[in-house]
Amino acid sequence: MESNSFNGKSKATVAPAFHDDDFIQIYNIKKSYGIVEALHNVSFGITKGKVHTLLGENGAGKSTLVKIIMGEEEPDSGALLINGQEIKNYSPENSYNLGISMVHQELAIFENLTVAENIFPSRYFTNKFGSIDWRTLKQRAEESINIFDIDLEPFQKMDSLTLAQAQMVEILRCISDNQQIILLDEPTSGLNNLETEKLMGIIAKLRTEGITFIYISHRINEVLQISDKITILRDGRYITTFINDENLTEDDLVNSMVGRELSGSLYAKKEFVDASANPVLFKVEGLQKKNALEPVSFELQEGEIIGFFGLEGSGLNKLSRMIYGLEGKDAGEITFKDQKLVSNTPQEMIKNKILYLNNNRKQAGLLMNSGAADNMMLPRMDDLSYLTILQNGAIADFAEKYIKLFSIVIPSIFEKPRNLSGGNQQKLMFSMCSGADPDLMIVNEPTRGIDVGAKSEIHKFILNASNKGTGFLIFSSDLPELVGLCDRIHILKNKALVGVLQGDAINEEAILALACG
Amino acid sequence: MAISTPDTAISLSRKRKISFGSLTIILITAVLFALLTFTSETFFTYRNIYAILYGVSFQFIAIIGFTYLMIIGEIDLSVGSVYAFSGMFMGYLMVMKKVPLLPAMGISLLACVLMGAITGYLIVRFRLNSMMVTIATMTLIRGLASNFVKRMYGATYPSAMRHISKIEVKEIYLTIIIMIVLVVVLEILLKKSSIFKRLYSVGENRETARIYGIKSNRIIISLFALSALAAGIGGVLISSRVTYADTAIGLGLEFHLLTAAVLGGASLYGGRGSMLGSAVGLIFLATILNGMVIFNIEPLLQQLIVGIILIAAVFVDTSLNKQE
Repeated sequence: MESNSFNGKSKATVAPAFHDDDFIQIYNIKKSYGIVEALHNVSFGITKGKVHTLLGENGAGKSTLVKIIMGEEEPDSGALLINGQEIKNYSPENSYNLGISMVHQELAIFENLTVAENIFPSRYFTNKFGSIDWRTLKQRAEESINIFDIDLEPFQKMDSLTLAQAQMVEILRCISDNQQIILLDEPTSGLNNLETEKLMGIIAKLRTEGITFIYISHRINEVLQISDKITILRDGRYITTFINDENLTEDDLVNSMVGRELSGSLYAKKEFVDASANPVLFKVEGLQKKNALEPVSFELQEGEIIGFFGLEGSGLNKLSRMIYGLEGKDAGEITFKDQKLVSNTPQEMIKNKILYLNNNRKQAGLLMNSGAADNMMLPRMDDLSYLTILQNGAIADFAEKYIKLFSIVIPSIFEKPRNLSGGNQQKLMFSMCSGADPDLMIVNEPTRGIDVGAKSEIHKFILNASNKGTGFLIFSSDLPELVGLCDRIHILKNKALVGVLQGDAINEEAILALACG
Repeated sequence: MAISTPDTAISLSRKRKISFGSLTIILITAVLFALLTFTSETFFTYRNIYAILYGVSFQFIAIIGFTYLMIIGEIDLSVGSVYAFSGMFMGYLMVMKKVPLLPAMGISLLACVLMGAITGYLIVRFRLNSMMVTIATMTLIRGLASNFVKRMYGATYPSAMRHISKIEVKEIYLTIIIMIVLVVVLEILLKKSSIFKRLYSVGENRETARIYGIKSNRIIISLFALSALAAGIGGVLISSRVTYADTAIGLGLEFHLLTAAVLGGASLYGGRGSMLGSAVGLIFLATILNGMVIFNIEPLLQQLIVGIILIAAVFVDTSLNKQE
């Protein structure tokens, strides 16, 4: 069970760790940070012109391995060969010169420049006077854009692009610089389904031209769709490499990733609760803002979980922020427990035990440099202080209780969130809302960019809390998640509600039909 | 099929890691004290130390609001001008308009609070950069202050006003006692009180603070008003000590306070800062200057050294911030 975890039922094909024509060869690489061993004797090869996925839970060692390949970190022992050449000096420049580039999770673009300048950042085409030859630049950029049949103008400003478009520009940049290996780290975490499809198409096309992709993602169906080979890492160890043929299933991947069989599927569908007879807990009427949101009205009955889905540009994120009072509205009434919320500010919401989980924990929602306990007390500082003096004992008890409840892996209650893995950060953020004893939670992207283990835990928390009477509004771009959790799903398109699905009528196809249609 | 859950077995530490924020500057200042004590006979005398503390006590009042603003990630460069303005306005009211002491002080300080609140409001309402806005108000308020200097023709302030800074309790100047009491009380509150804990949250991540119900806008406006009030009180006291409207009052004070606060652990990026640290930062700077006077280092070189100290402090601040 320890090293290889599939059972007799699996028909998946296991690939040998190395091929003769591997472009990247990793031999016995070890890397420790203090006493933590991030990589333990990892060996395998990456073949040219393939899409090779690295899969593993957070903390499995993917990021460390990527950093080594990118030259950002040096291994303690072992060897890395690129194109048959052993790396002696680990430096980002060296890796780049060997043809390795990375499209970062947080994009590395120049927001104030144009698309064309971003595709060719280091290679300005100059004319005989030494000034920039805008015509050639434009022409070359157009050629580049046309390869992919994407809707972009060379002289469009970068800050006017969607996340998906910006990402494509980054990929174009790698190609324009003749890079052979492109690392994609969670490239679809901010993309909707259509954009994801487009990206998949581009990857498939470039692969036929001999470009090698190293792909990192937590979205298993997407991994199954695009990969040629899938290498599983767990606890810093190489587990196995699968060949992605028709025999490989989601279960094979998940099981070898977690090293155990998950009880039930990750996305088991919640039992539908018909709450139409229950009293209304939360009601929104005519919430609107010019050019941002057409009037939105809906109700949440006690015991319900309501989902919201929309593609990028549908106003999904804006709606969640407007409900919570993070963004202004032109008109609209919000009623909670038969009482009108007058000021519609986060303060008023928290006073009424309505809490908000932010969609991007790196941007906001956590104080990355303050201790976990300091974070957790934020929404309920008044309860944890006496005459404004903070009660340290009570705070420590409170923090400990929720760290245990959410099984957050953390050495001390004062550890800083920035030192935690993504899954633990997300659980910490969730526990902050949960700790305020909410009657309603507005949850925006509850499981973005976290591993399956943490994901299923958070889903369990949502279902448990719902059983105990907490209302949920879930805003998510993860369709299986919404389908699995919600009693009812509202769909947004072009800044307006366009439909609602309930109970058995909820399925991914129906939702997408409304969202794209 | 057993599912292993290794996490529950790990014991959870409840110890807070010691932060070296204000400890560093205390140690450096102690070393400086020791050095000067060994190399000079005049430094470690009661009179000299007393004089250093007396000088610092005026600046300390002004650095209170300044430190809070740095904690929430804002900066108030108009402190020096307000410091000059408050005393001169008060003196002007007393000398030229014959207003009695307390009403004159009240009107002057009220004017300061108002200017601070307006600055804060502009910054919040139009999302302006506080450094730029307070550079503007620094110039503007300095202009107002100079106007009073011109109208008073170098007149000495009335004795009631000159007396304030000379009040003693048990042969120790009241301003020094106030400084010591405030350092202790404000430092404890900063570490223990939920009101001040919120400031650190606002400074570290304003959007996060907002999500969890902290009214950052209100905090920003109040703190700009407080900063102006604190600078105003410090200014009234220093004017009382100087005894006449001197154009040199408060010149460059904003950078002096900035250096002291950063030395004391505050950060230009917000989220850090300590009242004790700021106070010791001021004492450190005063001691360096005092030492240079003792060793007859010429004034130009003194400025150079203070400049180098600021660069060093900013360098440390930036590298600390990069680590995070």
